[in-house]
Amino acid sequence: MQSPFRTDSSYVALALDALSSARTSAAAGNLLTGARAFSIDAWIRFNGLPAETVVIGQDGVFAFGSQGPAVYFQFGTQSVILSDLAQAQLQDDSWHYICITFDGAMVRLYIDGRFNTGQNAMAQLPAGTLPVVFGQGLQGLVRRIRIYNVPLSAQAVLDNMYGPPTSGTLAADFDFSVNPAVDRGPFAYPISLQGSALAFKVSPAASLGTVGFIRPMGEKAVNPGGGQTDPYTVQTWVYVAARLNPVQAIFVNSDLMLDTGIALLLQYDATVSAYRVVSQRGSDSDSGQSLTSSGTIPVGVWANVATTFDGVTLSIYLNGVLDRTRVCAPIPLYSQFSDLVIGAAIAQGVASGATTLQGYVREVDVWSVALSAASIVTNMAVPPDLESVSLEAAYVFSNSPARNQVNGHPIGLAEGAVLSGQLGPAPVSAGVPMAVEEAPPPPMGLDPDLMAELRAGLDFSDLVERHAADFDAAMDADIVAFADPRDQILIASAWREARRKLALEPTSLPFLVTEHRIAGDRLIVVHRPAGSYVAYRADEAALDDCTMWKIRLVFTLIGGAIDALTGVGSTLTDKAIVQLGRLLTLPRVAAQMAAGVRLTAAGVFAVLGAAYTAGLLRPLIVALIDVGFWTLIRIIANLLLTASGVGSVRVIASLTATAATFISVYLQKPASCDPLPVVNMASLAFDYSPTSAAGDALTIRRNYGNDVAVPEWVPGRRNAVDAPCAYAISSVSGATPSVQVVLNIADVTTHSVRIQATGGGILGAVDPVSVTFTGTTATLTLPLSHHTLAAGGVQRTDVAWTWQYQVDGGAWMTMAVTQHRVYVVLSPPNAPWQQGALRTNQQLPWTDVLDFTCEWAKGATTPGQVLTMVTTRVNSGIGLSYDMTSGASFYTAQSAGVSRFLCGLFLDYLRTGGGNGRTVNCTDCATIVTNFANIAGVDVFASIMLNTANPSTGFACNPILAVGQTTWAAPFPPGNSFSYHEVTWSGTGSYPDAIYDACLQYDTGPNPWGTGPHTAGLPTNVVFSTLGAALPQLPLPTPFTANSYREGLAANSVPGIGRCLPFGPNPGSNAGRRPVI
Amino acid sequence: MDQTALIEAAKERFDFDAWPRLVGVEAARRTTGFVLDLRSSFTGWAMERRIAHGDRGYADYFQEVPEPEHRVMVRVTEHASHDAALLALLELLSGSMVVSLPRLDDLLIGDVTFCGHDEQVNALFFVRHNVLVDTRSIGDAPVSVLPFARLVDQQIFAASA
Repeated sequence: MQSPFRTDSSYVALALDALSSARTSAAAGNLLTGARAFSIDAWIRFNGLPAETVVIGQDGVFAFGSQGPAVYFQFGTQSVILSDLAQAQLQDDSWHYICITFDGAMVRLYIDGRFNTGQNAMAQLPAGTLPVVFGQGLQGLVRRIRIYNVPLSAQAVLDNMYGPPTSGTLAADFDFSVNPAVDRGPFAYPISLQGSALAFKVSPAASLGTVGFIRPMGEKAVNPGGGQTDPYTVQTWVYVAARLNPVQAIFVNSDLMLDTGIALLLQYDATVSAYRVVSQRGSDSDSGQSLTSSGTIPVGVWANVATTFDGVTLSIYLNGVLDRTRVCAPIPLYSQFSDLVIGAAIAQGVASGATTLQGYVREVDVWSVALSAASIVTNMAVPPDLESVSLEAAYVFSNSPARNQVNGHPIGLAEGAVLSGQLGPAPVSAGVPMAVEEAPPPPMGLDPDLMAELRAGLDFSDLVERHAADFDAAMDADIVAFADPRDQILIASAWREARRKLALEPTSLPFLVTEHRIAGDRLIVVHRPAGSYVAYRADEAALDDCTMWKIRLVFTLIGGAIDALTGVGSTLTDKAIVQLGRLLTLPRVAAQMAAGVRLTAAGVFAVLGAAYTAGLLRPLIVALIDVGFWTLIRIIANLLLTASGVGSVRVIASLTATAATFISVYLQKPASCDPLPVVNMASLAFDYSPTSAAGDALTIRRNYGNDVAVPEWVPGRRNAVDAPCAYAISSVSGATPSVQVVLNIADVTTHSVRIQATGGGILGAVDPVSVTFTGTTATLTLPLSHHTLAAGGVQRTDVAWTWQYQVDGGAWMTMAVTQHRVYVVLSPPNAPWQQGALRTNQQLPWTDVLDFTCEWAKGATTPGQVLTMVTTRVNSGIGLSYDMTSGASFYTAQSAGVSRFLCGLFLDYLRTGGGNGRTVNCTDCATIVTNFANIAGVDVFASIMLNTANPSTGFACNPILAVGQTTWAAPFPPGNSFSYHEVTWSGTGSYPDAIYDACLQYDTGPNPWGTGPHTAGLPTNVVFSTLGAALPQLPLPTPFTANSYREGLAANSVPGIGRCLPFGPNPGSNAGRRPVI
Repeated sequence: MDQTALIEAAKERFDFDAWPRLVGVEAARRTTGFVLDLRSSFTGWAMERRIAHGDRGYADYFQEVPEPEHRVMVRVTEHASHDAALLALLELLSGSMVVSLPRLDDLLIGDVTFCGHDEQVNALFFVRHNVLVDTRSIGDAPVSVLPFARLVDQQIFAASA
């Protein structure tokens, strides 16, 4: 496993330009005259690939170097032996391991550990007298050059790429990873630098160039500050190389001119000739808020810069030390999506080269919490835990390709930004220590005798014989994938060799995984030609047979691929097992795994590619192997480049042993383990049509800040609440709604496939349907022919579908169980709620509200029932209490000239008792009932009554039982009056229209104005006044038995009933349908 | 009848024309970019959170740790001028179901101050310079908001220019 410590990732190498070189004694070339066998290997990074370079050579004796993208070797003036460009090519600005072996008759060239070409060569040259030279015409970096006194085998070349050579095989070991460079070989040849050759310290990082910038892709959700008061941390390592721009941006997620988003910038302070850090919230105009550090960032030094915001306090940290803080108001505008740029600011919608960071950025971590000062310091030294739920992004630019390590999303480099490295003079290495970077074999981890017994007991001969047909099929599939007969021969040969080894010499396979139970523990043991070791050991009860088998399967794939492509042994840590588990959830990987005994070497390559695409390959490599950083980045670069490309015949051939080993493990499947699926369900969408086509679900969101992602279900969403849907009874009655399902298979198939879903609750089962794949994907629109959505009225229920597939009429196999929360309302929601294609519209129905409405109005089939049930619940079921002292609204507020419903705060009250508390007034009650009813398809509005002739006087009230009160009382002084009263009103908000008032109960007896006992009644579905618009003679006679709202509320007098008149919706309240925030 | 009529009615209800008007230097004083910080001012009270409120305003929430049923909300909104803040206060008051509310100018909190009809001051609405402040007890048990209001007023005063 990689060191848990975060370092600057720097390493030392010899930097050469075309006119510089290094030299050593002529005696170092004595072995290379062609008279004896030898090998040379080198780690080198070309900066430009000129027509010809010499990596190491001696004039008139030998030359080993590059010609364009090819590697060559030449004895004296004999013909040049050139690598095969069809097999491999050198890449500019990438580290390469090149090797030449000579066995006395044949020269073989290797690139990146893989054999490239071989050619006969005979030479008997006199020993040279001129110095052996490192670097002629070479521009780039040299890390190590070794001369061997043996011809390395192909396996030894692979092993030596990252591991230590076999003792006694080295004749010279020129180590340029220290300053000064030394020969660690037996003769300790001196090394001198010529021209401008210099040992450089290389710090891998992204260089922004002059006007470049970095644009993370698919990172709309990495949006610190988007919620106006959301907490966050942005922590990064930066290096300012030049003062060209007075403002240099590090991290920006919004246009600096907009009143939203945040920015982390550097601002040049000429008075101290250094940069100060600026943490910006909102725009850079007066409306924004910024904090400027008191400390500075010098030019030419790596610095750790962090800013945190905890909801109130904005802080800046410089190199782990708290520099400054300030309290901040919320960012003026909410922003749901990030417009993220690293290394430049956004001005007028585009990344501005005028603000490009003139230097380097190495890592940027983004958190959704304000880290403590201690955590800031810790994270300087330790990489963040990628499983942390509060870690939004970990952008790492120290190796290629750069990705967000949290989710694997790619990162775009634009306008000259590149992943290279910051170069600076290397410090002199104290005592010239041996660089600890090679990958030693993992410790055996078991008593040697017991391990030898295990190793000797390996026997797969019977298995290989019994399943010969399976191996034949896998081999044939790999062979036919290549058209060139020479390629086919290579693949066939590799497969035959892998099968022979598995049957007869299993320990000679490069990476064989077995499982054992010893002393109450389960062990996973890796067998390699050089020996065996315990890769994982845990209590027997820790993992079941099936899980253990799956781990072995995927470990065989990934560990085997790492071994095949790099020669480095892998071990299983708990973290590695977590990563392997994540890998298993990828549909493409699961599909390959499901191939079982039909897995091909190309399939192994596909698994690598899937892991790469999902961003899992790098963390897997980090978790599986134990090497130094420099080695690690080369391995990652090597594997990632391989996995991201097209599998060449050589790559596929190198993976045949892994495929054969996988098959052997697959055949040991425990009986308790269900078969893995072949058809995989990639997604399920309810609201699949952006234009709300007939049959799809309502468009919903969770709340103000969060939408519902569509497709609603993808693998990994295990809870019903994570995959919600909503339907309107009026839309689905007599109709057949449908869902959209996307399926994946591993390979194009000619077999017939059908799918079905059982269960489904009110959504009903999905009948069997044939699937036609386009390539390896099928998108199906499936009718919900058996739904019973309308049968239960308004409701919220959780359902589960068991999705199954059937191949060629065989048994039904389960491929997924999907859980869903289904909301059923009467009709499409009415204002303020909206429908439409724009999923960012915050007025789409919120599931957070539906959770309550569908419970409060459960079973309702008419708008009146919904209104009555909601009104009753608001009045007496959720603990609200009337504001008896100031009569103020607690859950409405003006914004941009419109009165809005503070719905998020009210939901907070409903869930936690917090929010703005339990106190409300009539406006609150009317707004709550209106919004919570209209979301279910009801069409009402909040409307007021007052003295329209003179609104300043109010109207006198009867004693009422206000919400949350237990005693009858007339409201406020003076005169026991309401200045106005607001209720939920239907129709046109006039005399004959029905009212629902959750704010109070009034006397429904025959004399509501009397002083005797009261008969409490909640005003639901009661007309404003049965007396109509014509003002009656007052006082009214008793008994008064009409079910008439006004007469129950207002005093039986001119100041009472006479002044209580319908007014209409409060102006500025969106016609009584207050928008939700 | 429109919004204007309701505002005119509110002016009458709350005797708007009699509200004291700042003159001279005081009328020109403005507080811009004011950010409240009460966190270290009240022993035993914890700040729950700060959220955006209205147009460029915010609301701070506090809870008394030993008595969690005590909660206080403080809303702060800056306006372009003192007169604009007064109109915003009037608009806030116009949403009250109470025909009129008591003035509380004796406390010397704010330039214009209103409270509810209760013995204990559970709600206080005031304008200081160009800033409108709305302080309310929102917990299950009422608590006086006067200490909060007084400190907010002091901080506005200190931040004014």
